[in-house]
This record gives sequence, structure tokens and C-alpha cells, in this order.
Amino acid sequence: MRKATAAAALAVLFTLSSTPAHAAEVIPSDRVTIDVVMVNGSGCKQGTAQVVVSPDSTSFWVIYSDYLAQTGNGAGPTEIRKNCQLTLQINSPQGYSYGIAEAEYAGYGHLERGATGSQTVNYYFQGQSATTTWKHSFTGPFDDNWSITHRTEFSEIVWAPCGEKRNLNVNSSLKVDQGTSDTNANSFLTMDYTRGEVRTLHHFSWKRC
Amino acid sequence: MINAVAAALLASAIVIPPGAPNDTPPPDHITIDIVTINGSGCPAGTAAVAVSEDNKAFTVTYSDYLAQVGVGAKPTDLRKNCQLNLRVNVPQGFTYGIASADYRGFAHLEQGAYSVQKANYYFQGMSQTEQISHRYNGPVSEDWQATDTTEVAAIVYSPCGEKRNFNINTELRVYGGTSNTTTTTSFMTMDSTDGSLETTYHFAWKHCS
Repeated sequence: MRKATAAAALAVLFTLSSTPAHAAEVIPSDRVTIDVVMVNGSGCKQGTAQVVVSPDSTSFWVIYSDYLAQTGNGAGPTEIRKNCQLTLQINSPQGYSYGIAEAEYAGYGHLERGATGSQTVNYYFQGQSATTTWKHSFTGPFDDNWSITHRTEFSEIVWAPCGEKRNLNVNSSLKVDQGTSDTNANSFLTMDYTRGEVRTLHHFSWKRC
Repeated sequence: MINAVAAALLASAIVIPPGAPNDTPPPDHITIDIVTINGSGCPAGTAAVAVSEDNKAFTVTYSDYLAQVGVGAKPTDLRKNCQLNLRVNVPQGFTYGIASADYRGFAHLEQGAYSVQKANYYFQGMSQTEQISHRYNGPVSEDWQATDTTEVAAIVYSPCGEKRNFNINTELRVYGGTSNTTTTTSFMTMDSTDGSLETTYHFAWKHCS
């Protein structure tokens, strides 16, 4: 799937880009861009997730076909929690950058009265212990589409003359809890897609690579 | 899968403007070359790996690393393992560094049940094998994270440095304890393993010709 994903990303680059492919090489490096390096987890097993990257590499979509946590009738005991971890390469140009990073998570939920659910995202940089957690809770009865957006400002200074590349890990998970709901009923949460975007609003560069 | 990651990186290489020709990494610290993965918790097609640009850190994500006891679990499901074999480049001279690993996952343990996350570290050329374990007690149903650090030291006479193996054997075990395993299920998953090798000091005694 990794290969297929890369191929898909390439295909998108070449087919959707309005400029010739070689022009991609001259995109000025004055903004932050993202590459999706890896997608893996119990909610996005091999062959179940698709990655689409915008031609300018500032936004991407991951679309899931089997990201579902469930409890109750028909659900296995370990299906109460599913996760999907995205490894993103963040390419920061040298100089000072300021902008907004945004991630949207969307899906569908069906929770019986008495059941609860949660959507959690852990963000951490590769090799670092520090983790930032965002959690959103759902309470049954619930039967609708849901969408959650995380938005954060970033400002950073990169001294490395050729910019810096770091991997950001984004581990999302869905969990459902049967609670006091009827065990003959089924409660579930799905994630349909994750969208990520970085918008660089200001950039000052101070030296040439 | 290594290929796949390379392909993904290739895809990203196309959108990144070429900078100055890649400098060869400074030869005065340990770098990670290749990571291979295998075990009952990470059979083929279920694990993915990404090594950082500076070759000092890596991330492994799993889609099916889950140990369980109770309803729906086979007797052999109580223990799962995944062995990571790292090929590292050690510079000539005496090198001392810290290897650290972050483990992240989810645990659902019934009252009375408990689990153990364990890792064995073996660095080629060092005689002892280090083992670090972390125990979790039920009732719990949430994300967990553990960090291990271990020292690595190497003396390399070969003027151009040498490649050594660094093995990390990780393991998850779940015990029913006093919980009722005929009516409940306790399980633990590993979502990701992150490793980094930070060189603290290095003495070189000859030049690589």
C-alpha cells in the first residue's frame, strides 16, 4: 500500500498539476510544505487508505474505507478502539515562518442511549516523548455525521541554510464505550477522512541556501 | 516495505526544490541506516517504518500489534512481539551515546487484569543485554506511553567507521489475573515505536582516508 500510495501521490502530482511536472522543482521554498510519508494503524490497514496530496504540497487528504470502532451486537471485544497514525514530513524553509496549521477529521457516528464515544488525536515529533493530545467526546443518543477541526498557529525560526525537514506523527483514534446501552444494539464511530493543511502567512528569509 | 518508504520519499523528493548538493552526514555521530521488522505482533504487511532525514531517529507504526485474553482470544494471543533490527553506522574512535525509545498504544484492561510492555536492547559489541519493562493494571481503558533510555558505547578501530547491529525486541503481554476471562476481554495494543540515537560524545583518533 505504501507503494501504491506513493504512486497515487505521484499520479496526483502529475495529473492535477496545471504546470508541467518539472516546474514543481522551481516552487520557491518560502513556505512550509507537507509530505505524507506513512499511513498505518488498526483503522487504516494496508489497502484501506488513500492519500491525495495537493500539487503545491501544502494540503493532503487521507480517505479511509475501514476505519470503524464498534461495540455491542456483532462487534468483537477488541473493536472498541481503532487508530490510524500518519507520519508527515514537514518541510520548513530557512528563515522565519509564521502561519496556520489545520487538521480536519470527519466521519459518522451512531451511539445508542447510554453509550459514549471519543475521538482522540496525539501529535508528536519523531523521536520526542512530548505528546500533545486533543480529545473530543460524543454522548449517545447520537446519529449523525461529525467533523472536528484542530487549528494551531505556528511560528518558527530555522537557521539551517537549506531549511529543515522533520517528521510529525499524527495518531488519531476512535473509541466507543457501551456504557449502560442495550447490549443487543450496536454503537459505532467511523472516520471517513482526515484533511491537513499548512498556510504560511509570513516568511522572512535571511540567507541563500 | 522499505522499498515502499523509499518510494514515498522519492515522491516527496519531487516536490522539494533541490537545495545545495547533499553534504555527506558528519562522520562523528552514530546514524541509523536500515530498520527491518518481524515478529508475531508485526507480520508482513502490518508494520511501516520511516527513518528521519538526519538518520538519528525512526518511527515504526503497527496495524495489528495486539495482545489479548478473554472472550474471543486464542490462548496464544496473550503475548505478541516485534523485533526491530537496526543497522547503524558507528564512526571510528570511541563513541558514547544514548538510545531512547518511545512506545505508544492503547490498553483496555478489566478490573483484576494487568499487562506488561517489555523491551530488550542489544547493541553489537556490548556484552550485556538490557531489559526494561512497564506494567499496567486494570481497570483502565486509555492510551499509554512509555519511554526507555539505554546507553550505547562503541570502540571502532576501522578508520572509516563500521556498521553494527542494534536490536530491539519489543513485547506485549496481557494477563487475566483475577478478572473474569469467561465474560470479558482485556487487551493491549502498540500503535508506534519511536527510536532515536543521540551521540553524547565522540573521540576520534585517526582520520579516515
